This record gives sequence, C-alpha cells and structure tokens, in this order.
Amino acid sequence: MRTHPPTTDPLDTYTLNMGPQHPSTHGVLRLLLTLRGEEIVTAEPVIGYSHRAHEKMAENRTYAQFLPNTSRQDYLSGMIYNFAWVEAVEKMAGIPVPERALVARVILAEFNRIASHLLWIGAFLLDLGAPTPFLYCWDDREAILFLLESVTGSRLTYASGRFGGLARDLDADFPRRAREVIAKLRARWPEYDRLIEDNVIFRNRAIGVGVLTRDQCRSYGVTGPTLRGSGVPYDVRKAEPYGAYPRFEFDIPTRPEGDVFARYWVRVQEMRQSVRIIEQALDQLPGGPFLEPGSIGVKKRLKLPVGTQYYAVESARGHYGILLVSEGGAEPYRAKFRTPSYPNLAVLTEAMPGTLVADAVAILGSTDLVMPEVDR
Amino acid sequence: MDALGASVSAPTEHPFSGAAEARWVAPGRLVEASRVLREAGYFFESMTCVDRIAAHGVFELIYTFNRWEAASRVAFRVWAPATEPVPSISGVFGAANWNEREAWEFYGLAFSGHPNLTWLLLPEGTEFHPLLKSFTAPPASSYDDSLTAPPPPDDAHPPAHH
Amino acid sequence: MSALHALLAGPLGGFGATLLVGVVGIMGYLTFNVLFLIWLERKVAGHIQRRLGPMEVGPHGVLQTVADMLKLLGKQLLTPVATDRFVYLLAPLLVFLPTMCVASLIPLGRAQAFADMPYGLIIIVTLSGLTVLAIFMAGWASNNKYAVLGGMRSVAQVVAYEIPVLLAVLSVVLVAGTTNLHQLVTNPWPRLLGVPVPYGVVEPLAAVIFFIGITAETNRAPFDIPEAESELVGGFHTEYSGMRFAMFFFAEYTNMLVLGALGATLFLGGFRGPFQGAVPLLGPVYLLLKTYLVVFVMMWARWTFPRLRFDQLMSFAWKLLIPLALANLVATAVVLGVLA
Repeated sequence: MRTHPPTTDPLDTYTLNMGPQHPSTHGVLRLLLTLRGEEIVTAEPVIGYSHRAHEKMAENRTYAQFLPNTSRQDYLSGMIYNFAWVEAVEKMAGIPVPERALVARVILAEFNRIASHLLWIGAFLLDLGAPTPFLYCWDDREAILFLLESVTGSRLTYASGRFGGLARDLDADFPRRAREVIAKLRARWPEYDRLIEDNVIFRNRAIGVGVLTRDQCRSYGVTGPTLRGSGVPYDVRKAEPYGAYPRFEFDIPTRPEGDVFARYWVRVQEMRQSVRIIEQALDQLPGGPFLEPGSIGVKKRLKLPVGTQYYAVESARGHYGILLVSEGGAEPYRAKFRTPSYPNLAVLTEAMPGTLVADAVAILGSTDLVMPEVDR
Repeated sequence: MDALGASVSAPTEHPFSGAAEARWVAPGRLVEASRVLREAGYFFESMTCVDRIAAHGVFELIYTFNRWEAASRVAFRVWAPATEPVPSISGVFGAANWNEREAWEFYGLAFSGHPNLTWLLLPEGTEFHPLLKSFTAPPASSYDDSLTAPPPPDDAHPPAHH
Repeated sequence: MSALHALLAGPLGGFGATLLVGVVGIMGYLTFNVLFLIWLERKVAGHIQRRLGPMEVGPHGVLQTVADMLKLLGKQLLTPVATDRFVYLLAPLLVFLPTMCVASLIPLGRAQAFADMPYGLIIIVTLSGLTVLAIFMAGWASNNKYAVLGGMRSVAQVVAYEIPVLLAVLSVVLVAGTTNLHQLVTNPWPRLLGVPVPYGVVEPLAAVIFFIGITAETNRAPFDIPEAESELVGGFHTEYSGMRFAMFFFAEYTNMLVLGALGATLFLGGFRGPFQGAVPLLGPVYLLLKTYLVVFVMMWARWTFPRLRFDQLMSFAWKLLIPLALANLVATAVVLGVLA
C-alpha cells in the first residue's frame, strides 16, 4: 500500500486528531494520526476517556457487590464477563456448581457471544459505508436480547451469575424459544453471505488490508477472533477448558491471511460454532437445581482464602483474564482484569502505518474494540 | 523452562494458582528471563502490580505468559522495591509498553529503559497514584476542569442584517 | 404558463417575464421534487432495511421532509472561528447554481426546455462539473482538516469521473448526430430489427458508464467518499449547520434529479412515450417517470453497497471506466462509419 518512503518531516506531514468524538471510533477512542496526504505515517491511540477505575472499585467492594461491574467492562458480551468473575471466585473459594447451572451458563454465554458478533458485523459494515447490514444484524440481535432478557431481566448489563449457580433458572419454555431464535439466525446466514461476503466492494476493502503477523500478535498478546484471523487456533475454551465446555464439540475457525477479511470471516464462522454448542447444550440440559442448595449466593459475606489466582475465559473479543489477589478479606486485595481489547488496540500502532485513512477505519473496526473494556 | 535458570527463593508464602509454573524472578534478571520466553514462543498475557508496601515495602509485579499451542501459563513474580525502577521489558514484548505505563501512573512505580513512560489511562499531569492502598481521594485541586478558552470572537454571534 | 407570461410581459418586458417565469418555475419544480425525493430515499432505505421509514408526519410520512426543513430553518447557524468567512458563506449558495442552469436545459416535453440551445449538451457537460468548485470552497473555507480532505477528495473524484461521462455522452451524440437535447429526443430513433429504440439500447455500455459516472459526480454511495461519514465525519460539510447544511443536502438531491433527467433524456428516450404525441401533457410525466427510475437505481445501490476506498475509486475511473468509454466511443464511430 505504501507509495512513499516513510517520513517524519513536519513540513511533509500533518496531524489529524481522529476522535474522541468520531463516528467510527466506537466509543471514546482518540487516534493521533500523522498523515502524508491520506496515507498514515504514524498512528497513536490515546485512551482512558472512559476509565472508571473498575480495579479500584473491586478493592472496595465485596465479591458479590462487584458482580454488576463485570458486565459493564464489556457491555456487548457482559454475560461472559459476569460468569468469568463468578467462576473465578467459585474456583478460588471451592464452591461447587450444579450441572444445570454449568450448562445454562454455556448457553447464555454463547448466545451473548453471537449477539456481540452480530453487533460487530453491523457496526463494521457501517464503518465501511454500508448501512443496511447493520439493521439486519440488529434485528437478529434483538431476538437474542429478548431471549436473554426473559432469563436474566436485563438486556445488556447482566448480573445473573451467582456464586454456586445462577440467579434464576431457565424456564421450561426456554429451550423452545432458544431453538426458534437459532432457526431465525440460521435462515439469515445465506443472506449475509450474499450481501456482504460476496460483495466485490467489501472484498476489495477487506482483503489484504491491515495484516497482523503472528509475531506481532505474540509480542502484543493479541487474542480472540483477531488472533484466529492470523491463523492461530488459540481459544481459551479449548486451550484451558472451563465450565461445561469440554463436553461439547466445536471447531476453532481460523484463517491464515491475518487481514481484515480474515477477521470478518472468523467471526462469521464463530457464530455458527456457537450455535452448534448451544444446540448440544440444549439437548443435554440436565434437570436439578440451578443454584447449589445452601450456597452463599449474594447474601452472606464471602471470604476467599489467601492467595493469588489467574483465571481466563474466552470472551467475544478474546482472552479475558482475571487475576485475583486475596488476603483473606471479604473484598479482593487486588483484582486485575486482563481485557482482550487492550492488546488488540495496542498492536494497531504497528498495523496502521502505511495504510490510508479509510483503511484505518476498517482496521479499527475489524479488531472489534469496546473502549470501556480497554479503559476499564 | 530450564533455560530460565534458577528461581529466586520465595520472599513470601503467598500461594499462586492458575498457572503451570509461578516463578520468582529478580528484577535484574527480568529482561533476560522474558527474552527466553519470547524465543520459546510465549505470548504476553498480562501484567499486574500489587501494592505490598504496608506489609513488605515492595510492589509485587506479576507477569503472565502463555503459549498458543499446548497452553501452559508461566507467571513471573517480581518483588520490586518501591523506590527502585524496574527494567522495562517493552523491548521484548510490545504489550509491556502500555502495561508498564499503567503500572507507573497507577502506582508510581518507575520502569527503566521504557521509551515513553507517560500517562495512559489517567489525564495527563495527574500527580497521584489511585491504585495505591494509601490513596483515598484525589486532592481537591488536582483537576482543573475549567476550560480556559479565549473569549468568543464577534464571529460567534453574527449580527443581524445591517 | 403562456398566459402568465403574457400578463407579466407588460410590466417586465418579454425577456424579464421569461426569466422570472423560468427561474420560479424551475425552482418550484426542483424544490417540490427534491422534497419528494428525500422522502422517497428514506422510504426506499426503510424498506430495504426491513423497516417502514418515516410514518408520522402525514400519510406514510410524506410531509416528513417539510417538517425537517422547518426544523433546519429554525436552527442556529454556527460559523466556526477562523473560517474564510466570505468563501464559507458563498459555498452553500453557489452549490445550487450549476444544477439550476442544467435543469433549465433539459426538455420537459414538446413545449421544449426553458432554454433550448443548439449546443445544450455541451453546456450541460461544462456546467455540471462546476458544482465541485462550491464543494471545494466549502471544504477549504471551513478550517477543518476533515473538510479539506473531503473537498480534495471531491475534486479528484469529479475530475476523474467527468471524463467517462463526457465520453459516454459523446457516443450518444455520435449516434444521434446532434447536441441539441430536444432534437436528440425528437429525431428519429435508431432502429434495431426495424423497431425504433432509445439510445440506451444501442449504447448499453455508454448508459452503464454514464450511470456510474453520475453516481460518482453526485457523491452518492458507493462513491460518497467526499463526505464519507465513517471516515471524515461529514467531509466537506462537517462545519455547516442548519440551513447551510440543508443547502448542500438539497443540492445533492437536485443534482441527482437533474442528472437523472439527463440520463433519462439521453438513454431512455426523454419525454417520448406511447400516446405522447396525442396528449402533450404526458411528456413531462414520462420524463419524470424515467428520471425516477434512474434515481431509484441510485438509491438502491446506495443502500446495498459499502463505500469504495479513495484509491480504488480513482483506479476504477482511470484504469477501467475511461478506457472502456474510449473504446466504446471508437467502436460507435466505426460502426456508424460502416453503416453509412
């Protein structure tokens, strides 16, 4: 793409301050671009506009009080973050979880993952200047949100995990409704393929743009679909299986190119794998309690043993890690949230130079950033 | 992991779980040890700073690295005296750049050899370190939210027709 | 019209009356159509996107655009600090002018166009490129980097796409043998297997190139890079608010309408249609229907395709459209020579 030798001559270049108010920075990201014409010479992300000090809040709240914070880190796949916190605490405290809750968590988390990917496809295509797929994806996502709302009572920022299970059980009608939603999703996929993937303009905008090499991914700790688009089959659900995931069959879609198109393709395929998992989980959904009888829930004060623990899950954006340090108190001594968007954004300083402004928007969009998750 | 050499003897009994190997590393050997992992194909997973000043007068730095193929997490635990800079590993792992800036602004822990040790998440010029256990609330004068914009020129309110 | 003209000719003189009736007539015609077009665009977008579009103001929301215009009229006009004030204020006024002139040249029916000129087509091609000057003025004067980028993109784009449009128009001129738009429509059409067909049928490639070209000239998606909102916020009109923004918005639709009418005149037979000879009033109706057909396809494309990248857009024009249009022009000339 590069047409000129790199330059830092101030007379040759100018600075474009993209964001924090900009239609394509997905929240409040500021990109400090040094441009030569429309070509990017350097790109520096400036972050922190939605920093809310979640890590400090965690030190001042009990484990249960912190529950609602988790889904506010990444509000697009909040369920996964919520369960990650619950599971990290359960693991450290040794709280048993009934079978039904384990499988139900997988179902809810995978639905949330699909909802997140759908939103991403819509927003990404909007970045590329195609407004129509956005509304189709929104329509599909709405069906999922209705379903999740019927179980958890909220649409976006869930707090439905409990230490030892779930806040509410899946009702008897849930499997039927879930299968209806799946049928709706399935019916739309060929349409998406024709509208987006086969579109020559989309392919021209996406193929060969914003290539991330494996070594860059390794150096920055890039994970999730962004990494799998660079041909690395790394998925925490397979690498360090947690919850009920080991009992379900699914593949890790990867694509070797590492460009914008590969990242798009991987997410589209991932939705299909998620549906596969959900269908198996619905078939195997056991009966029994949804919350460990006599479990701690949120009412009693929970104290964790002294120690440090790292716990990771696969969120819609990648490897989400929680490092919990306990000194035996009712509050964490330290909680570190290793959010996937953070390295996925950091690596862009290397991926953007040499591309055009329009590519910057495409590359930024293709990494599926959620800024509150970067800033925490 | 023999290439990492001998581990520093544990300065505390505080247990670590969730990693295949948690190893105490002396600050001076950090760059060398992380380079061994980089060459062995590990990726940078996370970095955490823990305030242990009240009890031990140090920060505990926890670096975790992992592998894509056959995941096995390696954690480096560094017992870093609060006053001495820790060698930066941003030359080895690109991800360390932002993580070290974060530790610097939130804890005031300096990193030597960092290319751009400045504010990342906090506003530029923040003079307190909010994740320190000793931190309570920002001093009242730390934020100047008043915009010192020049008075609007006549242009801003175009006069009616003359 | 002619009675009104005679009435006004008393106080104003013949030329003055013609000018007044013409300008008011064209303005009224364009404004009414543009208000309808904006509504239509929103309806088309809505139905393509599985929703209804405007439904609240008037039946099926037909008055929505009027309501929006009233809202825009009521908005405060902000002038950013350090703009080139004269140019900044002039741009939204100028953006209309070329389109207005072009509109006056397009024949509506047997009663001819407002200005029927022997070299009408040449004048149209000359004028339609001028809109970009106003757009660049807006971008330059705004004192905003996004606006400058948008303005520069716009100039490059229009310069590139003028050429294939001109070449496509020339192919039709070769077939028709005239640059007068009225004659172009009323002259005997070329015959294909003995049936008279509009020029679009004998010049399909020119029609397609012309359509792509006018889509780019009107800054419509997938060629809307001068205002690409996901990249340049608003492009050249980033710093315009209220009615000043509305002028640009209006100009885009006016442009669509006028260039759509030109396309309909050149390739789809203009105001000619069944029974039009017997019922002259059908002429403008036919033209309008054909214009809307062109415009509808433009809308359809907009709500289906993503946006091209700037360099792709340029190489598409220079490396594909212009050689194709040239080849088509030469082929047309050769075929005409052989037939003659």
